[in-house]
Amino acid sequence: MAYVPIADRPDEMHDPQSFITKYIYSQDHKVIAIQYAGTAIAIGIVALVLSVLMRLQLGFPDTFAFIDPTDYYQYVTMHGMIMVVYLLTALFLGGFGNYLIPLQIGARDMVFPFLNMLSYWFYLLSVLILAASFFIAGGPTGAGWTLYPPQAITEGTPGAEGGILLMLLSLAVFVIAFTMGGLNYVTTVLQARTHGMTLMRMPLSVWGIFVATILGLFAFPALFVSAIMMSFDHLLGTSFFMPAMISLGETVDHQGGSPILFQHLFWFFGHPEVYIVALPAFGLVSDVLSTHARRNIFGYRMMVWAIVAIGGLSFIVWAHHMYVSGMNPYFGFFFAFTTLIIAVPTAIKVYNWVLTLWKGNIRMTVPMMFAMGFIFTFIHGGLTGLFLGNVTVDLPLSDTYFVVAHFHMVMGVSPVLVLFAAIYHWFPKISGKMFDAKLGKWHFWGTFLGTYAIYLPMHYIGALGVPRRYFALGTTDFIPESAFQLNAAITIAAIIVAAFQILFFINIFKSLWKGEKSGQNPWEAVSLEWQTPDTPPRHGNWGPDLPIVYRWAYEYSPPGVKDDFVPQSVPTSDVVMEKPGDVFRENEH
Amino acid sequence: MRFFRAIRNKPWDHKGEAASAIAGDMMSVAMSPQQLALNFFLGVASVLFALFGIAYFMRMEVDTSSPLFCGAGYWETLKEPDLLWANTSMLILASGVIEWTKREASAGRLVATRIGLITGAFLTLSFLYGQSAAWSSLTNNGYFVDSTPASSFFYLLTGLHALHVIGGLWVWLSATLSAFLDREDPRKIGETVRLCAIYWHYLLLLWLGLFVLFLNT
Repeated sequence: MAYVPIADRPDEMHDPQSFITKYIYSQDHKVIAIQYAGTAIAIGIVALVLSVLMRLQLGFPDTFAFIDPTDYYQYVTMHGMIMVVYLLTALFLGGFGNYLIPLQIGARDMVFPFLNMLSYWFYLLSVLILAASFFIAGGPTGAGWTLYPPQAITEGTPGAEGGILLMLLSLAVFVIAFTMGGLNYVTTVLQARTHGMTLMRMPLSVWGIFVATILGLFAFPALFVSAIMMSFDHLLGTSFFMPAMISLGETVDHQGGSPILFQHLFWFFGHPEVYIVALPAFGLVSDVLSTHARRNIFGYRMMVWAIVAIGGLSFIVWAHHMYVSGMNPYFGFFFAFTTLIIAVPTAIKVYNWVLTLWKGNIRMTVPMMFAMGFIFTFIHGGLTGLFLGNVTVDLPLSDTYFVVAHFHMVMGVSPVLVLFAAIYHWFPKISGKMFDAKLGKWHFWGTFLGTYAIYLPMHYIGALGVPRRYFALGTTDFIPESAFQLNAAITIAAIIVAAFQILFFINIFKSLWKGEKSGQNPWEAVSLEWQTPDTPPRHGNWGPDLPIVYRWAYEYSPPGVKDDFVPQSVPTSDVVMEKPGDVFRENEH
Repeated sequence: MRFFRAIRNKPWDHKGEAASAIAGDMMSVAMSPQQLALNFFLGVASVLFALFGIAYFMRMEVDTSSPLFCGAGYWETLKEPDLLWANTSMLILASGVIEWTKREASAGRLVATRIGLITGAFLTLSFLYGQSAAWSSLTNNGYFVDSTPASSFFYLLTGLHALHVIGGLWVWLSATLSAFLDREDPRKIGETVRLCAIYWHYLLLLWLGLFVLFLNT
């Protein structure tokens, strides 16, 4: 059969009729996006509460009798895994990927809507399996989010019986869910773009999500492999990862397995995972910055290339997480080199964001404040990455709070600030309502300043040599009293930041209930999702005809135009000029 | 490579043009979405098995002479059952029959398509049955999943390969039902069979790779 591009095919949209097909077993990408986002945020709140409990113990040891070492390790593990996989990955790709890809490329839906629905239900299943581990005997695993064997499945580690198995099963189900969703995203981006939407006219949000999805498709199998092999070791007595050893005075049944093999597999997934979270954040923040600065994004082509280059490089840096594992020093040299190389495209992106703001007509809206906050936290987190990427500097800093501060700044706080920027930015389109800007600004300042109050001192504590993962520090010579005081201060800051998040939820619910109507395009943005005939967009997105794209997604403030923006879907002949008779001339980039 | 040509395109050229085919850029890939998704999926499966392969070699290379290992856990070669040769022939035959069915289906010959669909399914099921018989033969000889690293990998990899085959059979079953119940346009069945053929050839190649690995280690 001759191939007919999707944009040229007759529409076969059937509006769902019943409540169940419309809102529960929905195949509409927008509903699935909201389901993904709701589930991710719900489990994310659990992880946030766990972090506060953890901080209570660290800041005020010997105060809270209900936190024992077992609980503490379970909090640490579940907090880490939920935040990285079940919140950030799911919200960026399942949430924003689902919502934005079809709308920003001018498609009616994903290419495989049924598979898309299935992806969400598998994701929900994985979250439920994970959550179930809180309620079984022994509780969830406390092996640390990296789940390193042998301790992860050895008696004595919290959750070494059932908890770890539920974690591995949940991860395997998550990978299946992600693969179903991911195949959909890449196929939709490559096949379902509307007329005129060439690859190089796509918004950077789609670029970030697209490349991150490809990374996910090829990196998650490593997690799958390690989860299966570890389950075999635990359930069937194989020795893939488990060495011969004596545990609690008894010789274990395993022999000859290699824990380092697990570390390689885990980080072959784990490092690209950082960029699976970061690349969509890069894309979304680019769109938010450009829109609210009323400036075309600086260096669009370089931004795309940087995303592709970072994606490629992210597969050859994994062993920088393993400098202290005893691997060959020449390996360390290679991985330090590739790690530092990756700073080049990343720095290009940072310069381009700053240059996009330069001479922009900046509107200090709530999403813009979060986006600019991201630039700060990302630069700070990125700079400490240069320290840790060097083997010799990493060795003394390894496993200290310096590492904790680094990765929270670069892949905790930074993507979360982008998530808030993106939620505030697209909320008017998703809900049709405006949020309360004043509450939003309070939320921003509390979160932004609060995170600095948490993580700046943590760098200092780390530089002192205070080790991470310890339930209590006890009394040692090298940890001065001031470190304990700082820990208490950090905990107070963490509680305040956590409390500030309540403002966000109040804002969302209040705005949904009685927010002002947002109208079609409140930010005067140019990309396609803001040009839908209905807000929120109806099933099928575009009414009878698909939009046609005439230019890229960043035509802000072109000279002589009446408004300061020209949407992607407005033909050149329809652009209204300030002085009648003038000819529309696009920005020189 | 077309992709890399496409991302060199300058978005500020072709101002105001809505043409579908702006020279040098990529509007869409000229294949069905199903085919594209299948290609990506084969990529994912390849990475999955490649990682298992790397793990296999790394596990073989574990330095058991190190005092840490006390000489335990060394790699012991597994003697695979000869039945695997017969199973391999079944899968080769299945792949051939499915290729033939693909041609018959695209030519719209429904009876031949039906015969091909049934024969292909039968041969594939024979392969799966043979694999399970190979497992029984190993367990009868005292090689269980936790006996040696080689036997652990053997059960794990053959099991995973079989799961992929079963996944393919699921799609195959839907095409077979369509062909017998006249539910669908024969050309649409032809498209499904064409994608199945790609998948079966891929699974055959994968199995041959695994088989060579097992025989030599």
